[in-house]
Amino acid sequence: MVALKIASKIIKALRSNQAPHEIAWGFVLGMIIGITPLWNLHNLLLIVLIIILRVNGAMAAAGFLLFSVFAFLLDPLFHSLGYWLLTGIAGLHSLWLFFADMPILAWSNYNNTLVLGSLVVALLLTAPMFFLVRWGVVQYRSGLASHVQKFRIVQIITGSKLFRLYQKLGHLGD
Amino acid sequence: MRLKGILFLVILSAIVIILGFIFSDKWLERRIEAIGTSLIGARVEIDNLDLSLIGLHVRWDSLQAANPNNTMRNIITTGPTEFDMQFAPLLRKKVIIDNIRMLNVSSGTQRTMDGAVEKKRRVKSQSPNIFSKTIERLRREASAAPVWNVDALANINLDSVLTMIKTFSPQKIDSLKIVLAETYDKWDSAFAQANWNDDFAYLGSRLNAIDPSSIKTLDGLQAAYATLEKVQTRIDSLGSYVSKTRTHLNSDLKETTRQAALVDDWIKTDYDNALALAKLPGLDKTSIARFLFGDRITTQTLTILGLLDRARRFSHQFASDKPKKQKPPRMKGQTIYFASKQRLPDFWIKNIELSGHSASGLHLTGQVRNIVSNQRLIGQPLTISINGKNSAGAVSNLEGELNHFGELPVEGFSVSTKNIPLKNIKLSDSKLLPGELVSGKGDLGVHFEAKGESLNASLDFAAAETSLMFESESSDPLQQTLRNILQNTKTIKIKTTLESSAERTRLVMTSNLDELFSQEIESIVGEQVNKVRTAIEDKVAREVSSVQKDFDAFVAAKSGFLEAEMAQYEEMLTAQYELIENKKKELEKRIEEEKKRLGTEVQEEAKKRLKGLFE
Repeated sequence: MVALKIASKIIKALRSNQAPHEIAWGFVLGMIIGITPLWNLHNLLLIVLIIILRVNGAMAAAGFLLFSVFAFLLDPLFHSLGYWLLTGIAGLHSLWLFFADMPILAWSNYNNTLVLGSLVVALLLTAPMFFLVRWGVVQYRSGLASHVQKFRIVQIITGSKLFRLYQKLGHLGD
Repeated sequence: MRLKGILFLVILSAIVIILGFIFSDKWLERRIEAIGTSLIGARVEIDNLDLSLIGLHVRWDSLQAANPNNTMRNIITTGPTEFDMQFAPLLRKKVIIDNIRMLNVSSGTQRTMDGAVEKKRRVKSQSPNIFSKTIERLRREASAAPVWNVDALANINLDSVLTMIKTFSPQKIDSLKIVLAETYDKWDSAFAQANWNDDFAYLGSRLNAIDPSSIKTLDGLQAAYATLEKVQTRIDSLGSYVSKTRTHLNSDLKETTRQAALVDDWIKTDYDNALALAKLPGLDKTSIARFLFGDRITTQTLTILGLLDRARRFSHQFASDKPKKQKPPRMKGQTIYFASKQRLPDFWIKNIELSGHSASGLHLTGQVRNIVSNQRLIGQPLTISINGKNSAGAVSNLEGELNHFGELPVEGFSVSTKNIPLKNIKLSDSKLLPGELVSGKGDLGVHFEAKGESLNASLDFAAAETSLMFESESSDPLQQTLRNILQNTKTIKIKTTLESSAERTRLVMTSNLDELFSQEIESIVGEQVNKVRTAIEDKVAREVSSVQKDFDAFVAAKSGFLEAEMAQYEEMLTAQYELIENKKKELEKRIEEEKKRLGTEVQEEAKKRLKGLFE
C-alpha cells in the first residue's frame, strides 16, 4: 500500500506543474538518506529540509527506498572508502581532530567508516543525480509521458483496483 | 518554504521535548544498562533512575551487575548513587563526570534472576591477549578435571572407556615415516648420482701409476710430481664436494632426528588423552588442593581475568587513530577514535567515592579514580583503593591500578585482609565439601600483576580456629573421610600461584592438608584408580608400541646406512690424501737425491777438466 501510495504520488507530481528542480531535489535528498545509515544527525537535517522546503516528498521516499537497497549491497565498499578517508590520508587527520572537538558536529558519527564513506558517495552523486532527475522530469513532461503510459508495468499499476481505490480515497485527504 | 512544514516541525519538536522530559529517565536508564551489559558481558540493571535536566543531575536507587562467570550472583551491587554530568562536553559527545557518590556497595550477592546475556559475535580482528589465552587454558584444564567420587570410580565402565580411546600417534608416525623416507630416498639417489666410487678408483689408479722408484731421471721425477699435483687438485675438488655433502647430510639427519623426537610427544599426548577420558584423579598430593579449593579460586580468577580482558580490549580500541581494518557486520561500520592530548576523552569518570559492606560484614570505603575511555589523553591510570574494617579488628585493603597509557599495558592489584570472620563462608565449591564454616578467622594476601603478555599472581590464605559443620553424614566414603579431616582441622593454609605467558599457563595450588588428604585418598581409591590407569595405558601401548618400534628401527636403519656410506667416502678420501702425501715425500726425496747426484757428477767432471788444464 505504501509503495502504491508513493507510486501514485510520483505520477501525480510528474503530471503536476511542480517545478522539475523541486522534484529532483526531493529525489536527491531521499537518496542521501537512503545511502547513509538512517539514524544519523545529517539525516535529521535532511528530513527537516524535506519538510520545510518545497521539495517533492514522494520522490524523496522513492529515492530513500531505492538507494537503501544499493546501500546494503555496497556496504563493504563504503566501509573501505570511509576507512581510507579516516586513516589513509594524513592531510585529513587535522580535519577529523577538528570535527571531534566541534560541538554538535561530534555527534554526527563522521568517524564511523560506513557513515563517512556512504556520505561522501552520496554527496558525489548529488549533482549528477539532481541534473539527471530534473532532465528526466522535463523529458517526461515534453512527450515521454504518453510513451510511459504504454509501459506494461505502468498499465498494471494504474489499472489495478487498489490503485483506483487509492485514487478515490486519496482525494478525501486533499 | 512550506509554512505548514515549519508549523509541523515546531509541533513535532514540542512533542519530542515533552516526551523527552517524560521518558528521558527511562531512556538514560536503558542506555546505561545496555552500555554496562556490553562492557561486563552480563546483565546490568538499574532501579529508579532519575535525570534532572537542570544541572544534568543523575541518581538511581540501586544498580546490580551480574557476574559473567556466575550469572546467578552479582559482581557488584550499589545502593543510592548520584552524580552530575558536565554540560559543555556533552555537546561534543563527551561524557565527563567529576564525582560519583555510591552508597551500600557490595559484591557477590545472590540474584533472583539469571544475569546471563546472549553473547555477541566477536569481531574477527580481535586477537587473543594474555588474559584471553589464560582464560581459555584455565577453562580447558577445569573441563578435564578428574572425578573425585568413589562410586563413579567404582562404576567406571572400563570397556566403554577403552572403546572410546583413540590414538592418533600411529597415523602421525606413518605420515612422518613417509616424509622421512623422502629425505632418505633423496640421499640414496644423491649418492648414486655422485658416482664417487668411480672417481676415487680413477684417481687412485692415477696415483698408483706414479712409481718414484722406477723413474730414473730428474725430468721424469719432476714430471711425475707435476702429475701428482694435478691429481691432488682433483682430489681437493672431490674432497670439497664430499665435505659439503657431509654438512648437508648432517643438517638433514639432525632435522630427521628432531622430527623423530616428536613421536614421543605424540605418544605422551595419546596417553594423556586416554587418561583424561576416564577423568582419573591424580593421586599425588599436588592435585589435592586444586581438587578441594580449585573450583572457587579458578572461578574468581576467571572473573577477574575476564574483566581485565574487557578493560584491555576497550582501551585498545582507543590506542591508535589508525586501527587495523575490521570486518564489521553490515550497516555497522567501524568507528575510528581520534584524539589529541589537548582534548577531553570521550568518557571520563574522574572519581567515585563508594561505601558499602563486604560479604564478611566489613564496612568498606574507597575511591575509584579515572575510569576513562582513553588514558593517553589524561596521562593517568585507573586506580582503585578500598579499605574495610569492623569493630572486631578485622581489616581489609585493596589497591589496584590499570595503566594503559604506557608502552605496555600494566594491570595490577593487591589485596590484604587480616582477621576476617569466616562464619557462614563456604571454603569450597566442591560437591564433596558442601558445608559452611561455623567459626574461624582468615588472613588473605593476593598479589596480581599483568604486564604486556606476561602475568604473575599469588594468593595466600590462612584460616585459623576453623570449625566446619555438615548437615548430614555422607554415603560416599571419600567425602566422609574428607569431612572428618576438615572437621578435625583447626588451621587451613592455601597457597596458589598463577604464571602465564604467551606460550603457557601454570596454576599451582598447595595446602597444609595435601599430605593428609593424599594418604587417605590413596587408601580409598588408589587401587581402583591404578587398575583403570594400567588398563588404559596397556591399551594405548598395544596400539602404539609396535608402530613406534617399527618407526625407530626404520629411522635407525636408514640413518645408519647413510652415515656408513658417507663415512666410507670420507675414508676413501683420507686414504687418497695419505697416498698423495707419501708419494709427494718420496718424489721430493728422489728429486733431492737426483739433484745431489747430478751436482756431484758435475763437480767431478769439472775437477777432472780443471786438473788437466793446470798440469
